[in-house]
Amino acid sequence: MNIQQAKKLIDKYFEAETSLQEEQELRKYFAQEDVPEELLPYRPLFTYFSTSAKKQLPKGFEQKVLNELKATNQKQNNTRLLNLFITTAAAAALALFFFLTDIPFAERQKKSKLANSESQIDWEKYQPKSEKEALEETIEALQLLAEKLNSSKKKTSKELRKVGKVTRILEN
Amino acid sequence: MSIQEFQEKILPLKNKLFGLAYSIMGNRTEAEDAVQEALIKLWKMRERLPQIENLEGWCMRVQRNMAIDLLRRRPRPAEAVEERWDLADHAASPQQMVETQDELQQIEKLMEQLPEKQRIIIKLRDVQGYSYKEISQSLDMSMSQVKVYLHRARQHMRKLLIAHTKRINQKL
Repeated sequence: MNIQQAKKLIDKYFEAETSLQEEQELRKYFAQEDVPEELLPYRPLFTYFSTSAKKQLPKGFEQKVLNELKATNQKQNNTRLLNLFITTAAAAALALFFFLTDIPFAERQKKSKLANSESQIDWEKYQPKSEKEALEETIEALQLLAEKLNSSKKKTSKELRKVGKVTRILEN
Repeated sequence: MSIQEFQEKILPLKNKLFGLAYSIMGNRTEAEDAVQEALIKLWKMRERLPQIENLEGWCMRVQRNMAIDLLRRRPRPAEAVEERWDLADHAASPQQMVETQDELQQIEKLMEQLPEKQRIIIKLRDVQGYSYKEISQSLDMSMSQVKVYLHRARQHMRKLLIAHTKRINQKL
């Protein structure tokens, strides 16, 4: 390319009318050693373009990204598992609650009806007649309560052991 | 999309994504992080990728949004790191190499004086070698807008170059 052609192409470049190929020609032109003095002020610009184009990602970048993608995969799987665990645990907790309260629906309804008719009960009949009788009644009531508490404790421990096993599986 | 398909279809775009991120962010390390983040984001949406017609255009838009998002979240502008250029093909002697590095540094500073859109577009075209179509897809602009911005950027750059050369000549 002679100087006249180069000047024409430079003007075309600054008017944003050059094609990609013509722009490549300009970069090549300014990469040669003998650039006319008149055009020297433009040389750093085209050198800047061609040298900046060499800036690329470092070696090993792809492997680094692949490792990240695998870690992301693992995290997504763990999140899915955790969601499953939370749902299961919530369902188990609900079931445990009903199980421990030990009152089936029908029985609760029956008790509710009984409660409504409570006002008709003559409680005077059930009053202990002596101190000894009151003590016996109290002991009997406490024993019944202790039995119920022991039974609930066993059931709770059993359910907690199950939850512990699931947590250990998730942590591993 | 499996990891193998991702490796074959998406990862080869990494240098192009880097070119876009670098043109927007102007910092090599930040651009590298932005590419990694964009690739992870694309991996997370991998189930949708096979249905996308223009996969490369889509990836470029994801990359652009990621770079802009990271720039906004950046607590303070990144410290200006003096860039070094690979001048193996441009400078014959060590002295010439130092001079050229200095000239390129000056061009970088002139580039920084351009308005943001003009700077991004001139870098995409003249450094990365993008076509008007690719720039318009990546930046979500019409091709005529791209051409207008490129024209302004080059005109602006020409004025800055002439003023810069005059200042140097006056010093001499």
